[in-house]
Amino acid sequence: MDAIRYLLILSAVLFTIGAAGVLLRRNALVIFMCIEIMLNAVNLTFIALSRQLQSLDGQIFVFMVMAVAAAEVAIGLGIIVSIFRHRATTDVDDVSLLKG
Amino acid sequence: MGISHMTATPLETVLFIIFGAVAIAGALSVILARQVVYSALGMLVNFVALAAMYIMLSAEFLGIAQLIVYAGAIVVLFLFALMLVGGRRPAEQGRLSPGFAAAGGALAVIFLAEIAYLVARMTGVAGARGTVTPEAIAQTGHIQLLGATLLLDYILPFELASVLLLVGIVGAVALARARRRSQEE
Repeated sequence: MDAIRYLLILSAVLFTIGAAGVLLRRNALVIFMCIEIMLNAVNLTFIALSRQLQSLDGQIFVFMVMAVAAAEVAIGLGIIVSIFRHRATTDVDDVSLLKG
Repeated sequence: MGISHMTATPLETVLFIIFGAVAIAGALSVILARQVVYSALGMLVNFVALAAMYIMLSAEFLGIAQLIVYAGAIVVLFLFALMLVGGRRPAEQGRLSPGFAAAGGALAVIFLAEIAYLVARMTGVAGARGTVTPEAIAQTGHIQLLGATLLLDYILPFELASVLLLVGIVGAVALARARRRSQEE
């Protein structure tokens, strides 16, 4: 059985769910969670292909993605809380100052 | 091209189906939940299922790191932010315009169909095979092999990642200070 196909399909499904969430939800926190789900789907691809190619290079990418995700969450959630303090909303449609 | 050398025992297949279904269910509950706190818990389920998947793919260290960093730190940070912005309220008022919802859903379906088509047509994974077989990992240990790769071959990205984390810490502190200053005014 070629397990790699099923792993790639699984991570494609997870990525699609995350992308659909970013497109269809308007709560900034939920959008952020969907970005995390997409990052995780890509991590799964990296690890599956790293096993397939019998090389650890892909897993280094996963390590880096985890570091970036940690920094991103720390900053991103700080920004979301700041926006909430100023405008009492976490709805991305209400944060439209830059819209012409 | 052989992709057949990556074989799975029946037990692994069953576990893959279980954890895959749990991961998909967790991800779906993130985008379908009415309250943000349930979204956060769905995300936790998704992360734990993926950690199990990583361990099954003989990436033990990354599975544990996934549990600590994602299921631990990131979910807790989300729950903290949720408490600060009031998580008990429904996530969003009003409905998305039907046209936008249909367009977003259609884009997602097209994207998935495209990848499924490519994977179905795939005949193999190109590229040279390395020497890190699951047997080698079981013999030497995943942490030792990953640590050697990280600190010998990828030392510059590793150092850059630590700089990135430092910038993240400074940025988070700067955001918190700006908030306190704006409250004092």
